[in-house]
Amino acid sequence: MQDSLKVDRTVDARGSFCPGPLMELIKSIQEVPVGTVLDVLSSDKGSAKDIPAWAQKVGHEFLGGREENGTYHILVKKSK
Amino acid sequence: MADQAAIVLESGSLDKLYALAVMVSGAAAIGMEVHVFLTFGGLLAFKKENVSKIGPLPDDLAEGKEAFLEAVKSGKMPAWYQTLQQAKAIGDVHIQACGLSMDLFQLELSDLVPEVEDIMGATGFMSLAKEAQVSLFI
Repeated sequence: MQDSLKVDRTVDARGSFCPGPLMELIKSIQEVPVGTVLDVLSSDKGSAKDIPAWAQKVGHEFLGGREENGTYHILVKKSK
Repeated sequence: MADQAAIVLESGSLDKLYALAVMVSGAAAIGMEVHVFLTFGGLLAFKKENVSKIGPLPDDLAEGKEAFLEAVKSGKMPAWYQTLQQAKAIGDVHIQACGLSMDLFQLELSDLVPEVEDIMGATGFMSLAKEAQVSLFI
């Protein structure tokens, strides 16, 4: 994952259990234009796996993920 | 045509209601058309006065009961009904009440939360389920 990647919108879903972070992301992605890069912050391990799978299935681009001090950052670009 | 999921909810225990809400959310999130058929305990859980109830939990959850209830009460785990409403808002989710259970418990559609669209028989639901790629019994 590129460190220089510009994040347009942060979706802070920390503390929310599965499938909360994905649901938050879906709500947010509906509100932004195509090309927007969203950074989902999650403390839930399941979502770190679910969100990339969801992105692939519905046709958004998963840009990468990392964990920092118990918080997962999951980057998704709205592609359609 | 979208892939379909057909789910029968037979139980009204709290863990099963969560299982339903989370599975429906997952299916809705990937664009599946979801059909839920509520029967027996599953139907009673959808009565207006019951959707906010916390409980009951079955004995096999004894070990995890405290953690479960604590997550529910603290709001860390959103209420199952709210999760289901959210799934309905983002996806193509349809909820039907079992005709037999409606008769058995002498219920009207107006006794149930508005997310329940209609009353259906087993044959009607099976004809939907026949076309579904995924079917679950909860």
